[in-house]
Amino acid sequence: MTLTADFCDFAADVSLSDLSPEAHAAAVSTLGNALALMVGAGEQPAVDSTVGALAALRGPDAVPLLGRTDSLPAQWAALVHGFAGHLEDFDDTHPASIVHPGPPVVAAALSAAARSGATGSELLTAVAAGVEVALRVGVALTPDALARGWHMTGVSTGIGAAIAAGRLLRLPAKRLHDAVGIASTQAAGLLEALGTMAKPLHPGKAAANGFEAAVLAGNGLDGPAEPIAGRRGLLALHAGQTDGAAAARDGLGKRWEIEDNEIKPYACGVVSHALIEVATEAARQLAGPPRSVRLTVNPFVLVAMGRTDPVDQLEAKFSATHCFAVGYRYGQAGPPEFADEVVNDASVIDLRRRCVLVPDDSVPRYGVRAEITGDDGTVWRAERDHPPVLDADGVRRKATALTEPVLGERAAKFVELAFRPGDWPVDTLLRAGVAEKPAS
Amino acid sequence: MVTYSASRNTLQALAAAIPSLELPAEAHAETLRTISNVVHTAVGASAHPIIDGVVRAHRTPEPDGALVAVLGRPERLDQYAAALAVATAAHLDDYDDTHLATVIHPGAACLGAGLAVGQAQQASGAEFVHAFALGVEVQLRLGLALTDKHYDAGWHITGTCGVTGAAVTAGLLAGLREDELATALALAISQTVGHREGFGSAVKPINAGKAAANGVLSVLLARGGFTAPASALDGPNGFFAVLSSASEPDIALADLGERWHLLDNTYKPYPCGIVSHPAIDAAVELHPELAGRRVVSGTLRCHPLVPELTGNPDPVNGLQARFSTVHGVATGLLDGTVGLPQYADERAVAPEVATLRRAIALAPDDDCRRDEATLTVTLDDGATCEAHVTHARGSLARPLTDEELADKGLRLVSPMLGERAPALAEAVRDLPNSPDLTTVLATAHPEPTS
Repeated sequence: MTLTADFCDFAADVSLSDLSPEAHAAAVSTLGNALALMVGAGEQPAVDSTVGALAALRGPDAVPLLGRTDSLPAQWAALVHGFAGHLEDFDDTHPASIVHPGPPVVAAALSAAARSGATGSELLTAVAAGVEVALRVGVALTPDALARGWHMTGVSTGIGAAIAAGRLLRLPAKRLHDAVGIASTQAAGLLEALGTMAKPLHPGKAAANGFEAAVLAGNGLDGPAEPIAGRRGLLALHAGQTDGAAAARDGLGKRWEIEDNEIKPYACGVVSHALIEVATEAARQLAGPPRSVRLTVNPFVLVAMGRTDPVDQLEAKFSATHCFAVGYRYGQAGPPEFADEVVNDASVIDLRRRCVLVPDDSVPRYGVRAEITGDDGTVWRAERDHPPVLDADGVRRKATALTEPVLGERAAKFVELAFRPGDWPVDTLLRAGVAEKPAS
Repeated sequence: MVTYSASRNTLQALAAAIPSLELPAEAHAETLRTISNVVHTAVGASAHPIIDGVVRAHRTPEPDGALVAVLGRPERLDQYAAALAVATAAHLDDYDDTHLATVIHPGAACLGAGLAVGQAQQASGAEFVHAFALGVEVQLRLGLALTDKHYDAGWHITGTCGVTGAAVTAGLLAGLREDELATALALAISQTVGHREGFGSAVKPINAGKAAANGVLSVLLARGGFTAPASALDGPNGFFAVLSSASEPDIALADLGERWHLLDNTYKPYPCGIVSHPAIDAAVELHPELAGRRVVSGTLRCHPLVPELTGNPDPVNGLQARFSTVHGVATGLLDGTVGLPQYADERAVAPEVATLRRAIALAPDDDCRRDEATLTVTLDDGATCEAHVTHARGSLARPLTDEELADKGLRLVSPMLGERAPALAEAVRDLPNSPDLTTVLATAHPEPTS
């Protein structure tokens, strides 16, 4: 059996009762968190730009856009939802692979579920299957694809999106296999894009490509036998090895990678989350702005988040020093702390400039060694090896905070649906998550 | 939006230079040959089940003014889907064009993107030809800069570089500003397509189709205010660094506007992988010498890429037969001609063809050039015959003549267009003087309008 065939058999057969309790809880959090992010970002200017750019495109059906008052053809709704869900860098992270699986897989699944009239629990099952496959593709590509410069989310999630969409469109196993082949050849996205709109385009495009691959396969287009682990396939080209296939297959259906998917507490790259936690703590310990801040971090932090003078929201997401500065100044790092006004606030700029990042291989990728000198010369030190994580209640509180500004008092009902997938049609969820049209 | 301050910025240099480049007469003439060739391959394959599937997947129930014509099809689709369908069709039969140094088939992606955006922008024929030429030129330059390490690793370079060409063609026709054109190119680099694992399945032509469609999408997003990395080509995690182990970025800009790589484009005389072509030439050459005698065994001395790329000994359908050099040799020996009928599903599984395929052995030889082959066969009366092809038909040393190209085009579209077939080549020839693209599209329409 090929790895692709194993993935397709798993995805076609799995049911919710097969998931471990932890995997089930992780799937619910991954789905609910992604949906809330899509609603929360709906009115962002970057999402306006994307929807406007796609206005010339047509398709067989229209899917309402979460957090907005308009709709787009299913493939392009998938792009916008995947883009919006990742835009704030506030989604989720599978630490071992650095894949952010939620928005692209959920976006493709939403469009497919809308088309096929699937229920909330069918949506959840498809998302669990698609995320599990995406994460296992990510594991197979690790560490080589990242080291070569690929954006792990871009290259891993199109296949998961095709799996989720294909299952919801009720493709037979052979067609699901073809869909994976059509999605796999489109794995794309370079790390060079970090800090620009091209980065959230990667999960947006993975969602659209995965959905389209499922639809094309359903219309008779075929693919190769082993698009993932074949000699000229995904692993060979993006990672330069196919040995990762063994890890990707290990315990499939019994051990769940999705259990490790972590919902982000802060709206930026996960490698700076420990810095923010430390900054928040330091601000409580020291009176007033610090004299100097020395942050010893894994060298990857400088590669991914080394921007020192960000000028706007998206650049600030990739500035570890900005993350520290807002953590210190505001005690939090949600979407508001990355708004352009905050990025260009004089006191924040001043704080950023007091920070020095020192690369050190001995510090774990998600950790930090901080040495903060207060105004009076007091030195405060902290060490973290892991990023802080949200528990299930924290994820729901985050979802409420994200959706209330857009949905108002309707937010409670949307969050309830998003986190308790049931026998209702997905259309109910979509209608609950659109913004109200302004009275004309 | 993002400034990039390395010493070299290939992306911005290309975006700044391209719009005003003028085509010399020779480059203009070769561009028209490239366009004519892919227009005919696209129309010839436009009714294939794969294209039916693409169109069904993207069909719109209520047509409106946002839709454009799809070359060779009765339906109208949006710009993205039209680009996807046309470019997929253009490459589908593996009968299009090849830039031999890079193995890029450059025409398909630029045709799909150019016809779609050209219609939406009501571009003139001359604007289309100019935009098409520059799209071809840019993707060839980027492909050359990646060096042969890129294709050798397993990338389908027609997709990975085609998307940049499609973005240039579409961007010029959309009238993008210089900064928007740079953004569109950078967004295209975020959407590269193409693993060679898909060869022998619908994924191969879809790689070309998605290159075109993603190029169109890149232009729509760039015009919509997207930001993208200015360092997309040259950055430490950019195109040159990530997509090849041995890029030579300076090639991309070397002698831009003076040296035209599009002049090196060649056109396929046979609808299959180009490495099979010298072998098929040899088989066709031997056909008359057989004089009814049966071939009992044969040996093909060939370039080592033949077993690597087209080594399938026993294809079960027409698509797989395109990746079987011994199939091309067998049908060449049996039929004396190799065209689309030799790659029909029925011919791929015909017992006499299968038997002869099994009798031909591949003898790869490092000293054999890519466009060279020697075929030696033993006949049932004990006689042996040999044909040596120094340069394959359609190679740079032996390019197809205008007459051969016209003949190829006619054979491709006659089953679709009947007596209207010759008018298609004329419509392409008239493009430089056409106010828009409607004559080409109307001529290729399967149901003639009065």
